[in-house]
Amino acid sequence: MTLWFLARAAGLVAVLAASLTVALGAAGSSTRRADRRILTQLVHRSAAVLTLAMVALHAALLVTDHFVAVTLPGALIPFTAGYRSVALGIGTLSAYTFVVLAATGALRGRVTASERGARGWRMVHISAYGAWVLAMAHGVLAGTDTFRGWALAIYGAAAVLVVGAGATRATSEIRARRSPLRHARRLAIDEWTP
Amino acid sequence: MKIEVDWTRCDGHGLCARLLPELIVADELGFPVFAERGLTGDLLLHARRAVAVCPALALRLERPEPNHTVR
Amino acid sequence: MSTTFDLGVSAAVPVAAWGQARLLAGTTSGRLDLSRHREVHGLPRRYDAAQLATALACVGLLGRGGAAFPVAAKLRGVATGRRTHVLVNGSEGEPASHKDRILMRLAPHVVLDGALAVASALEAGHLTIVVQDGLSLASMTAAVRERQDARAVRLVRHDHGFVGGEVRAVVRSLSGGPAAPPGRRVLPTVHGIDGRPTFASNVETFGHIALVASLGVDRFAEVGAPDEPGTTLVTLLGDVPHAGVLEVPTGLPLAALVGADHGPVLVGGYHGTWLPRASELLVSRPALRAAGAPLNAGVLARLPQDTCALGEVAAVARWLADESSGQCGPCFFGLPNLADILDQPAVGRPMLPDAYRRAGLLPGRGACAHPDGSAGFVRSALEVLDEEIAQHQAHGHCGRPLRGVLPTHAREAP
Repeated sequence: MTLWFLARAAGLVAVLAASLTVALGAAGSSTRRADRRILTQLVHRSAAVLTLAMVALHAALLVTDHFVAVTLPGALIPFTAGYRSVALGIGTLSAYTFVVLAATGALRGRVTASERGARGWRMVHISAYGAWVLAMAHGVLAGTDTFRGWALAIYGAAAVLVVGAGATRATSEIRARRSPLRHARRLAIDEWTP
Repeated sequence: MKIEVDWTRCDGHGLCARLLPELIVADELGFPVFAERGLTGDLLLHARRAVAVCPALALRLERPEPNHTVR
Repeated sequence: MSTTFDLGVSAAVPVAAWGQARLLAGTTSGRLDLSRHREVHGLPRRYDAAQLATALACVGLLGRGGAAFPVAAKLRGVATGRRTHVLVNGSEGEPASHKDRILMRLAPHVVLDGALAVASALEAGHLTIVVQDGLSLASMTAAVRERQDARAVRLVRHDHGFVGGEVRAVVRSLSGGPAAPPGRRVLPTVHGIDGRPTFASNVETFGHIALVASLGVDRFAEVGAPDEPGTTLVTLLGDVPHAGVLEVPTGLPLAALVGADHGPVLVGGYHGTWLPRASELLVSRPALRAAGAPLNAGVLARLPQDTCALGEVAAVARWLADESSGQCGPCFFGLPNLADILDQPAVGRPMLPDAYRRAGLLPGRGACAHPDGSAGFVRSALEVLDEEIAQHQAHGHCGRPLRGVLPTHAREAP
């Protein structure tokens, strides 16, 4: 029973950590100061590590605990768990996506070796928003405390954090696209491509 | 190893200059000015960090080509 | 000095040769069609890749497009086979240069002989010729149609400005991309059109390859400088004895071409170098490069005394800024910044330190050599025109009007 409580706690901490990670990833471009951006990137990476650790702990505890019948294959293969299989499957997918995101993040310094690598990296890493939505959905659907006040507060805070940071990022990207250099680059590509 | 920049991607964010001040200084618009120095010892590690931290992914590390001039 | 004979005027550009005309041989009566071309030049001998490279190395042929890269080395650096492309770059984006279009209009078969010689030596599957203007395109098209061996030659009109005429920009455009240099420096010989190995060179370079093939190494090397045998095409403008396109043996004194009077003299066009006067320099690529005034695309100018020299330089600097492809921050912002300070040398305020500083922020900071070349052009002007600049700063002007000797307008219509 204790493990079951710990598993749920780990899950909620994971949701918060994931939200912090995604928000920090989005927030990078909101400041012009280089040292702040570097710091944000570093904290983003730490939060990502914490997220992975909490997700791993959450899954391990669930499998170990006997209160709910979640087997190891059930946890690892999406939608095969006996208990709330859809909700758990979403959780599994979300976890795998976070692992891929962490891998791409760790390899960020290496992708520029190839021309296509630099452009492809952002396309892959932006799936973080999707992974976060899956994580939230998993929590709401699979969690047993979802409609308790404190749980709603946690999900609410997480949503505000990520949506807020995402919106800020979107507006700053739109503004950056209008800069003279970006505009000139688009002209170079559009005007001159046959 | 040498640090190379794709100028068509560089947006002048200036993070590289913060992480590798021995080699990179940001001009008044934020674009890097590179010194002609080798990446010796510790500098290589800082250079890798600079490459990873660039928001535009404009930096890369390359082995210096022996004889090629591109025109 | 040997005979100067006029080769007529093509689109209002005087054309002449000093000494023995080679590229321009036979063009006194106008454009050479195939039969006339064969009368003048005969048939080129056939070479395989190794033989051609050896011959070109023997005569030390250097590229005529601006980089002056050893052609034999470039040839040896390309893989042979059907995947290989040959590219003839006739974009000639510099407004002051006319040599390539004149060659294409008057002696298209010399260019084709050279291009086909390279293509056959490399067993290449593709030969593309890019041309900027309509008259040259018409001449090359007619020439291709006359020949049996040029069935697969692709002629492409490429009108994308100065930077767009840079070889990697051309390669990118032919591969379906934008006509702008890529952000990574990759040699066309390794990764060119459609990613295939590509031997790309200037129009005039292919002309010289044809001359080596038809004259043979010994006869080719009979004229010209020991460090660069043969002849070369130059475009002369301003207060010079013979303006227009000139074919000359290499190694002539610069003073013979631009006049021995006081300068300022421009060597190498708008990415070139200003000199206070013609001095003792000899016009060969190795000699000029060693002297820090590379020949580039062969534009040589001497400003007349009755024009505002600073104004001429400022107008070209502004043109260079407008020609930036706009991809790279230091160039996109730095070139207009540099042009601004030349436009308005404020009375009483020392402009030189600031101008040098702005010019110093350009070299090596772009995807192509446009910022480097432009900075060199302006910096050498600052050094040479210091008296003129001092006049402007003291009085606000030098008393001379801007005559526009250095062209910055769009090229003549097709």
